[in-house]
Parts: sequence; structure tokens; C-alpha cells
Amino acid sequence: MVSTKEIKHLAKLAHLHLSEKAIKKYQKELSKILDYVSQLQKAKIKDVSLMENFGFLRKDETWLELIAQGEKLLAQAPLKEKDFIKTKGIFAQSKKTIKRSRKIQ
Amino acid sequence: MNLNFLTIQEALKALKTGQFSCLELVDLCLRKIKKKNKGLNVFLSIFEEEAREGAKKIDKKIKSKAKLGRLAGIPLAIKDNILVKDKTCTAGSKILKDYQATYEATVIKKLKAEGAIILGKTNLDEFGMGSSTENSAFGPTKNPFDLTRVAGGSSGGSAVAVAADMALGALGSDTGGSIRQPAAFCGLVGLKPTYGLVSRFGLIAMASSLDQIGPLAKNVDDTALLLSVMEGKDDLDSTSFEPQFKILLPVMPKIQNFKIGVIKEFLEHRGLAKEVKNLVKKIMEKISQKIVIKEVSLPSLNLALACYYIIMPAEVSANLARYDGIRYGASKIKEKDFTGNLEELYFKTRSENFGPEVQRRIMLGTFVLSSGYRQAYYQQAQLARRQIKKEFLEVFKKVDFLVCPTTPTPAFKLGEKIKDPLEMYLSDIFTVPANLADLPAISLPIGKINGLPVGLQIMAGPWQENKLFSFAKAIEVICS
Repeated sequence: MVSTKEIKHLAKLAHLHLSEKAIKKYQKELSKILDYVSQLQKAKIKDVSLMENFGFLRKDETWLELIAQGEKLLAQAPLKEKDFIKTKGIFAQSKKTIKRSRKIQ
Repeated sequence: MNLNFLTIQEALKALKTGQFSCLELVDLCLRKIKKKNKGLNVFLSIFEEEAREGAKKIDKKIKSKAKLGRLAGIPLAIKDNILVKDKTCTAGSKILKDYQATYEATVIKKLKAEGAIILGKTNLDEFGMGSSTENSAFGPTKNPFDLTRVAGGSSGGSAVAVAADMALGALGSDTGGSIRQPAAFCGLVGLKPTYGLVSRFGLIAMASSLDQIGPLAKNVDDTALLLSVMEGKDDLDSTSFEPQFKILLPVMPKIQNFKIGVIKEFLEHRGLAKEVKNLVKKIMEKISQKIVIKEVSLPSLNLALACYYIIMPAEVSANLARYDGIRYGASKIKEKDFTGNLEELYFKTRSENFGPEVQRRIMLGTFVLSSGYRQAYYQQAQLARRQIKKEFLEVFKKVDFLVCPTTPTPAFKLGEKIKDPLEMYLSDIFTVPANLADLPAISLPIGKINGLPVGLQIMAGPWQENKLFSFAKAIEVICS
């Protein structure tokens, strides 16, 4: 069983903005799913351990084909300025927050 | 003449001997697509010009008796989560609605190098998440056997492209059954390879330790041919392996040398429809006259679905973090009246462009990985996964193949399961174990119930695709 408070927390971690209606809907659905998958906690699992990861590294060579796509890659960005991808400032406040902090002052 | 009812092998022969031209074949497919696509909703994009240009090049090669590739002139459909360079790749999502692929998937390079013609990209559940193609942002794909029913998912579009004779073969991807289940629902052969046999480079990632690209076709021979072109270690996919054996076209085996296992936990499953169980039993009775069939038990399989629906969403939550409205895809920042900050850019871009199933799985994954829950859920699921794989490997020391129905029921009605996510997840019960255990698994059509196709699933040990294809070919003959 997962609470609406936990759903709000999960949404924040997952970078999702949910309406109150959506929070209630996901709370019901995720509670049901988590109840089902929780059966795993009672399972007796023995004689296995978490294995190391496998995977192979390729040669440390420049992938020229990708470099050649530079302009096409940049063309995908929603907002650009010259050769830069443009986005919102990390510490910039939204106009709402600025208004709110001015009110407090 | 109905060219599309040909198999790939028949088409290759006919093209080489000049019975018809590649352009005629491709034009026929394109006409079929134009006629049926609106009603069935199969293709999200159609590469008419490139397909016709490609066909003309193949015809020139045939005329000049130049060396031809192994798939020369064969029109194929590609699931829209596999990148074809300079073409839109949506992953069935609003967030990638206008995304243009800047590079090509390794499998596409390989198919093109052997002369295959790419007809277009097919509909899918958003980011491969679903078992019906009802989770696509662009509408569901309908089952050609009954337009009120689902095509299956998430490779529904690819399955219908072949079943409705719009293409001679297709590529799908399979994370928990997304090739095999739509193949079963649409009367086709569909294979999920051993994990690592086919490169995932250029496949839009859903759950990286489970995803595999695989073929869908009308028969076992065609499926094997497609796989033989796609397989192989790729430097650009560190999880791909050099296969122990090259994939060959199957030969008819001496099936009396094989030992078959029937999975007790699956045949006794309460969700399994009686008619499906009886059809599978009928086939088993036919085979049992020639070979040893024993009942095997894999008790950990009762944990498989729970295990899958913890591990898969965990990986989904990580893989979909990249869709943030900054480097590609839909973005709030494009809207003139957007005045939000960076956090609002992320949050609103994602919530407004991901569908509900995607958001559900991202949050589920976030939960099982979060502090306080990670050990109880994610770590426990990883241990369960090891146990499931261990049990399978033990069983494959005693039998060559495991058989069971691919799905508990034939294709269900549109709208029947979409309102209850857990109900939808339960329909994956027979297919997810092969993904968890990294095993090859094939679905082949064994008959119909009330006009709806039913699939038989055969699983084999790791890297045993050649053996699997041979046995599947024998079953195909028995069923025909």
C-alpha cells in the first residue's frame, strides 16, 4: 500500500508533475501493483548471489561517424544559440517564485 | 497476382529468376499499406520514395547479374523504436513525435547491407511498454483477424504489417514478450534471441538487461534468415556477444533424438484458457508419438512476473531520465508563453508528453530503487532473477526444449484490459521468464480458436537458436 504523500515524493524524484486527480489514480494503481510484486519479499531464495556485471569495452577510438553528425545533433535541440544548446538557468527562479519571495519581504 | 502472400524465401527465388521485379513487389506492398493502414493503424511513417529507389537499384543488380545480398529486394517493416538514420523515430510517444534519428541501428545497417528494403516504421506501445499497442500515443493497432481485438504488444504494428501482407517480414523488440505475444495473436512466427546475440545499438532502450531485437515472419525459415543477418557481436553494444554458433537455415531434425519438457506451473496456471490448454495438449499428443515428453517443474517461475515488474520498471526509470526537453524531443521551452524555471521545464515536459503507462512504470521503478525500499524490492528481485535462471539451466541439462502456450488466451478485445494495469501485466506470465533468464524463445502458430490464432512457445538453452529453429520447423510441419 502506497500513500498519496509517497506518490507525490515519487513524482518529484521522477521529475513528473501530477495533478491531484492523477495522484489519486496512480496511488490506487501503484498500491495494487506493489501489493502483487511484494510477494517476492516472502520468497525463499537461496544459493544465489548477485553476480558481477559483464560487458566488454570497445577500443578507445573516436567514432568519426558520430562527430560528422554534429550539426544534425544540434538541430535536434529545442532551443539553440549559435553552436550551443540553450536552457533555463540552474539557479534561476520562476516568475511565480520571485513574486512570492517579494511578497514575503 | 498476390505477391505479398509470398514468404521471404519464395520472393528471393522469384526475384532472382525474374518472375517479377523488385519494384513490382515493393509497389504492391505500398498499395496494400495505402489501402489498409487507416483501418489497422500499422505504420507511423512510410518510406515510399526510398523504398522505390531501393527497389530500382536491386532490379538493376539483378539484371546485370551482380552479386546479391541475402535479403535482396525483400520489403520489411521496422518497429518505431529502432533507429533508421535521418528518419523520424517516435517510440510511440509524444515526447519523440518529431525526433529525427541522427544515426542508424546496427541491425538496420546489416539488413540494408544485404539488400533489404525498409518500407517504414510501425506502431508500438509507448517505449515498448504494453501488451496490446493500446498505449501508443498514436492510437492502437487492430488485429486483422478481428478488428475489435488487439494486435498484441508492444510490437503490434510489426506483427500486423506481416499478418496483413503489407511486408514480408518485420523487426520487433522483446523485453517481456513483445515480439512473441503479438506474433501469437496474429498467427506469425516471432523470436526473442538469447540476450546478447543481436546488437541493441540503435534500439531506444526500455530495460537494458532484458531488451532484445528480433524477427517476425510468416514461417520458421524466414525468421531464421532474418536472424542470421542481424546477429553478431557489435563493438557499439558492450552487452553483445560473439555467438558460439552462426545462425543457419534450419534443417528438418530427427525429432526422436530430442527430449521435451512441459512446464507444470504454466499448464496448471488458473489464468490459462481451457481451449488454449487443449490445443497445446493436442499438439503435444501428436509429437509424443515420436519423442519423449516429460513434465518438469520450475517452482521459481511463480515469482517471475513479480520479479520482472520490479526489475523492468527500475531500468525504465533510469533509461527514460534522458527525456528532459533539453537536447531533443518535445519541450516546454519551445512554447512562447512558458516562463517556468529548469525544474518546471523538466517536470512539465515529461508529464505532458509521457503517457500514463510510462509515468506509472517510471514511478514504480523510482519506488523500488528508492532509499528504504531498494533492498526489499530491487535487490530481492535480482536474487530471484538469478534463481530463475539457475533453475532453467538445471532443467536444460535434462531436456532440450521447454514448451508452453505463448499467451494465456488468444487476442483480447480492445479496451478489455487497458483500465486495469495489473490485469494487463498478468497476460505476460508465460513470456517474461525467457527475458529474465536471457534465453532464446520462439512463438509459432499452432491453430485457431474461434478464428483467433494461438501460439506455442518453445524455449531452449542459451545460444541454442539453431536447435530451436530445427525443432520449431518440425512442429510447423506437424501443424500444417
